[in-house]
Amino acid sequence: MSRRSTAKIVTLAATLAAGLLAPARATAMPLESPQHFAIEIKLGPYVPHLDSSAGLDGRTPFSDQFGSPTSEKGALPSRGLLTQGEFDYQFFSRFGTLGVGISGGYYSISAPAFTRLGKAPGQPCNVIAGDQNSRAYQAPSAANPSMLESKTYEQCISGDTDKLNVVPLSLMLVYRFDVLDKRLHVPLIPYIKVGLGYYVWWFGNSDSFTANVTYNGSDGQSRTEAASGASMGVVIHPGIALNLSALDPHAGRVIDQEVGINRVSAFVELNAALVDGFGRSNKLNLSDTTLNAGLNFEF
Amino acid sequence: MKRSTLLGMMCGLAGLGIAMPAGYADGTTSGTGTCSGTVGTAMLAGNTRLSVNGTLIQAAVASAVFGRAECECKSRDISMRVQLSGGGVVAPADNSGVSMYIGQDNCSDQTQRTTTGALCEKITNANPPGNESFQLDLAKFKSIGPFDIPLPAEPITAPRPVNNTDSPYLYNKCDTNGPQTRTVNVLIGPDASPASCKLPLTVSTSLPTAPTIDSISSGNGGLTVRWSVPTGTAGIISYQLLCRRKADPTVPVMDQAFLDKTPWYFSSCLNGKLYRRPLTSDAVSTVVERPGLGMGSAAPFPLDPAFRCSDRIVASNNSLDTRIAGLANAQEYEIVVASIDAYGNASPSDIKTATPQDTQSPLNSYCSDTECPNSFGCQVGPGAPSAAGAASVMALAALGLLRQRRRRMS
Repeated sequence: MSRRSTAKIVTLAATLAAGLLAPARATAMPLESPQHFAIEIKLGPYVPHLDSSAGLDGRTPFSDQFGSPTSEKGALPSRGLLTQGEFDYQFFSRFGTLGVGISGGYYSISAPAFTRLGKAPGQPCNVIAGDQNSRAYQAPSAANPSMLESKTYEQCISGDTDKLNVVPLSLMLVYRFDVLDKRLHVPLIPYIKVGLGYYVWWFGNSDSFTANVTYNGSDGQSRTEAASGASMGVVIHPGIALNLSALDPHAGRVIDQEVGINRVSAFVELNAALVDGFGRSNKLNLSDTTLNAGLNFEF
Repeated sequence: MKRSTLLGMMCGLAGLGIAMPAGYADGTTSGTGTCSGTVGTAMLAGNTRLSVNGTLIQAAVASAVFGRAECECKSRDISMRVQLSGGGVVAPADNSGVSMYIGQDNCSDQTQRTTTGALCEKITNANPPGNESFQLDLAKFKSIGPFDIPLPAEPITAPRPVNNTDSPYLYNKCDTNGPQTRTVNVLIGPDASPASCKLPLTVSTSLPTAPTIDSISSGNGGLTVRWSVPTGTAGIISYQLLCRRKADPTVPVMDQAFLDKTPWYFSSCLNGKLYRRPLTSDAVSTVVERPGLGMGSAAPFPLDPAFRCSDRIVASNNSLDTRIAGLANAQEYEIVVASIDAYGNASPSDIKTATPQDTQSPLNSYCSDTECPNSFGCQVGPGAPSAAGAASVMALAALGLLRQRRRRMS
């Protein structure tokens, strides 16, 4: 590299650093309204990894019931739509903005319930690996309950529907590096959100909003309780936003003056949720890693 | 009645300064009619509507109240309510010339024929046979207040006697071959030019197309029933499901709380009772005692409201489904779907049987021998540290280090 080129790079870097560190340029334009909050609406695919829950010992009950009957045994069910909203309070805005955010959303997946076949209390069908990446079904024989016989999927399911509902809640620290946007007018805002997730879930069915589960307690007594609970974990959302207001600064200023919205941006972010109750055996694993997209309004 | 005729009459009344009572403005298709004419020097004006047991019938169903059940049970409790207005309305002092006819429009008490030549039927204490309780309360014609004139079902539904020795209770064949119009006509005044109160009605004792049960799927304490009618089927407005336990076919399946809150939406004449669908705004179905009538329609699965197992299902599609809940597992049930038309006539499907079966809770697979993961708290449980746990620990450690460094710097 020649001395001339090196000098050019140094000059460019110095200019960039000066731009970043210098206070925002004063202009004749009206001042921006104060900015302390942000609201987001975002959509993305999601499916909880319930079969990765502790204590299943290789069993895949979520895939068996909620997965496609034509898919491979143990295959993850298709992702559904996770709709989320977020509210941030921005308490620091000198070099980027730092804030705390809370978010909530909703996701559900439905599938036919498995019938308990045979004499009461009966047994549901076992799902086993079939030929050529398919799945097969077995249940105790009516004639000889100690023997298993093949069943079709239709013989195993009932007319009822089971539904898993998930409401993911998060409390996060949010940092938006909007220095490029504010000082250099590059309308890209990298950001990261890190926090705790608390994912509430419940199973419903055709008969009730929240289904029951019956099991034997530690005292040996049969218990019937609501099939609902929650798992805690960590959520990390790195992403990048495109400042839409910068595409038409005049319109952006008008919106700010009229409505008080400082910035509207579209974003894409990684939705990394490590929500498995920190590995405890009495918690469901609701983790997933996908991409979300949405709109952000800062005001 | 043609709309133009009605409008002309309404305009004429308005021109004479006669107020139209609230709620009686529409006189064509919603089961309301009018009174008009002159008796002596007094003008007769007003409107008519249907009532049942003293309560006005909802306008939405008032044009289609008489169906097969009313015919088979010789209904007596539906009346024409006459609301006279304008003041000075009087019947003749001796009530002479007051009579009631049922037929097509423009019945005449002189010829008992309509303008198209069709016969009208004069209603008396002897016609139809057994109509002893019928009476025109003549004194009320001198009153301005509303009063009810009972309408016996037979002249309206026109049943035909049939010889049926096997079912002596089915003494009438109730079949109008589809919807037909009738006009109830009360004539007041001299025979030469009587004033009249009219009420247009539509009556049908023909049954709607019966649905076909396509499948019944068992569930936990319930059954999901799917049924259909052929494409292009018309006239069905709703469905209601009936069920009974095969081992105990005379006992209603649903508990009293369900039966109390769920009306039946068809009318049925059965075992000496007329079960009438909701007709008034309180949406309550009723039972009227009609001893000796309707005994013959009890087999093989009666359209008995006591066996209703669902609420009304609006006929929005040719193929529908619903779930019957509140059944016992491992018990065999008989199921019937009834299609219902605007007149309350119901046609049952063939009987199908099915047995509810217990289902596996999805959460059961996640339960160990002693516990299930259905908690909201942070109970300590065994298990290896997860990635989430490790990430949390790392995040906390990083925060701690940052804090320490800031303290040192300050």
